[in-house]
Amino acid sequence: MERTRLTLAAVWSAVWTVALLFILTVVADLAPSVKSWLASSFSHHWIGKGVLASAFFIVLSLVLTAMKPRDPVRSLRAGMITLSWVAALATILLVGFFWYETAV
Amino acid sequence: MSDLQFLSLILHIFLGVAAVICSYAVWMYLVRPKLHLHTLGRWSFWAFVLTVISWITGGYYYVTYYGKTVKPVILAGKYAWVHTIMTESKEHFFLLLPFLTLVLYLVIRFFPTEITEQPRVRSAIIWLAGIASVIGFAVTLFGVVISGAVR
Repeated sequence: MERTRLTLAAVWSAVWTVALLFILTVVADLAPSVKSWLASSFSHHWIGKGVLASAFFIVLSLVLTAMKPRDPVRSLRAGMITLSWVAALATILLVGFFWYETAV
Repeated sequence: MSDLQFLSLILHIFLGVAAVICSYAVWMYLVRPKLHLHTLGRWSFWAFVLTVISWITGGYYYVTYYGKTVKPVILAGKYAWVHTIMTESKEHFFLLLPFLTLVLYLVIRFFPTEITEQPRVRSAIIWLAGIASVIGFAVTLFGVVISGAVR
């Protein structure tokens, strides 16, 4: 049961982690102060994003593990579909964002 | 380039490609009519582990060598857009893969009955494996173009 809940928590935590990575990347690119803070705190902005995303994923997974979903299988299915969409959209939007930044 | 940076680059490429192959194998094994859960478990485990090692080795090469030596060469050449579009987006959407492959492994490991018996759960994990594979292919393809732009 614990492993089932941990897996469900990891699925939904991954959804929010992917969203966080996308937002962090765009914000850091548009706000030089954020990028500088990441670089000064973690030696490189890219390392900062990876460390923050990993820490966020672990903490959120632990928090969500404490919750009891009413229908675990339904939540699992919804989580995987949401994760697929969010990951695909984040990838396409990241390419589009850097394309736009290069073009203008 | 130091020996460690060279080794990091080689490991990043080979293990990264191996990780994409593992993700693709998970996708293809999930699509088959009869599921081999033990095989799926092994492929998904290695997809995650190899992605993480490729992340660490690629990160070391990127931070210590690419940014200081390769990036200025690309930006000064005819194909500066390869860095500003392809490297910038690749280095960031690569970060999604460790989480996607970990989720694939955990679901295959701890929800085998649901994947086998419930078509809607199986359909959802097929989508997830497909997206992880396509993002992996995109990372690989972008890497090839970036290498070409240096030359």
